[in-house]
Amino acid sequence: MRFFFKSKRFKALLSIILVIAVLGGLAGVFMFTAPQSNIFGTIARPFQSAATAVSDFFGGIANRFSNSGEFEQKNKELQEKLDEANYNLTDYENVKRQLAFYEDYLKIKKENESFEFQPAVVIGRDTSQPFGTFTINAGSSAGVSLYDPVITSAGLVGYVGEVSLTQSVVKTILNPTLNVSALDNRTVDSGNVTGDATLARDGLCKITYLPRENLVAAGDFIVSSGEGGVFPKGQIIGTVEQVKSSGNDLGYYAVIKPIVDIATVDEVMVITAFEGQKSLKPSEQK
Amino acid sequence: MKFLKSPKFKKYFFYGIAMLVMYLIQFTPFMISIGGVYFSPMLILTLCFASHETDFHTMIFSMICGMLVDVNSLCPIGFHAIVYMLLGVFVCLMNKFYFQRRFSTAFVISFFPIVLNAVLEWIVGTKLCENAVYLLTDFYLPSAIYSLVMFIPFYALFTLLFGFKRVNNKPRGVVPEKLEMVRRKYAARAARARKRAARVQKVK
Repeated sequence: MRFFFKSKRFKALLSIILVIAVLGGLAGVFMFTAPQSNIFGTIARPFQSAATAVSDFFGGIANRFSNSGEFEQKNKELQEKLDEANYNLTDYENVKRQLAFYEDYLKIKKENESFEFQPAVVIGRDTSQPFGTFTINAGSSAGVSLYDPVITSAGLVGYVGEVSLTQSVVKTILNPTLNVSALDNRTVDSGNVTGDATLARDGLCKITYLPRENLVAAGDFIVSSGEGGVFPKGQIIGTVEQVKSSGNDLGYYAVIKPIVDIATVDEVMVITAFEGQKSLKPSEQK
Repeated sequence: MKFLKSPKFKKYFFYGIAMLVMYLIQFTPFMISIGGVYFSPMLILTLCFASHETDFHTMIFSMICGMLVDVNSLCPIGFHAIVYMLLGVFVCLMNKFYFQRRFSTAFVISFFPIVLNAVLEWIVGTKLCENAVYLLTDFYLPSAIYSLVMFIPFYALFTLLFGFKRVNNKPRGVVPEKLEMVRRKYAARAARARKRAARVQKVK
């Protein structure tokens, strides 16, 4: 032990410590950075950076495990808020669409206060016939009965041909077995709107029994006359495409393009009651 | 519970699913029309079923398919149920007694029911109004031809899905029911011959 304290190595170590202590003290008194700080700081910096990165990494893992419950809870709350927002958005779109749908019928209702409506959606189409027959989701439980007229905001579509508890089948104006008493809105020439086998494939129908002296012209609007009590008065049926002679008869008929595109209609209104409605069976062609 | 796991239940369950799918194809806007003409998926399903099942099951299945079609059409309620049932039973019995159950016979036999169904729908749907013949040639018969063409892929699909197999593994030209009849006839003849021989021996 005595030899160590007397050795050169001990003396050299003591002098280094003395120098560092003096420099550190002077740096502390006179406020300057001690050279040894710079030297050791430069050497240690990359090691410090590596150590910090490793420490952060393991700290993050630990954090995740220790705070996972909190994150899960926050995630759940945010997901619920998002779901609610999505639901409100969908509901908003539905309400907007319904509002647009009902706005059109409000005009009709204002003009015809006696009408009672039942809205319905087209849920199926009968492709085994070319007359555009379709099924709606309103039946007798919703107040729909046989021969109730079916309209859209644009005009007449047909009437209810079959009713069950929850759905109904609509016979359209393209069907040759359906008759609507109608007249030309401009010339007041009356006739009978019905379907035709040759016109149904093109989505057209015709108004027959026009008088010989009629003034019906292409572009005229054909509306229901209300006679017979099956269809209300004033419902637009279609526009005249052309007027033709009935061949051997003395009368004329006109080809009508329905105002409603029956092949693509998806929402309709069933008029369950109106002023002047009669419960008699409408006449049908045989 | 055993019944629920049985192959029979599974088979009829999947028949029900097929019925629902074909119903959706027929009455919702999934159908592809050619020149404004559509085919009849429910009729095709009925005929495929009739080609491989027994007459009693065919009757019930066809009736249910027909009733589903009736619900969405203006034809009198029960019209399609009865027509599909009769056509299904016809196809079933033809396959049972006169043909082996394979694609070519199913296709040939189904021609008549599909055309007859189209004609009946024309009569009831148009009520033979003015220019009704135009619709027969322009809509109903083309619809029947379309159905016949679509019968091919649907028959292949159902064969794949339901594993329709030949009723027996006998070689061509042998009809199983006829074979059974012949077997019984010769068995009865052999029994009578044995009785006769026994009587002769007793007498001796």
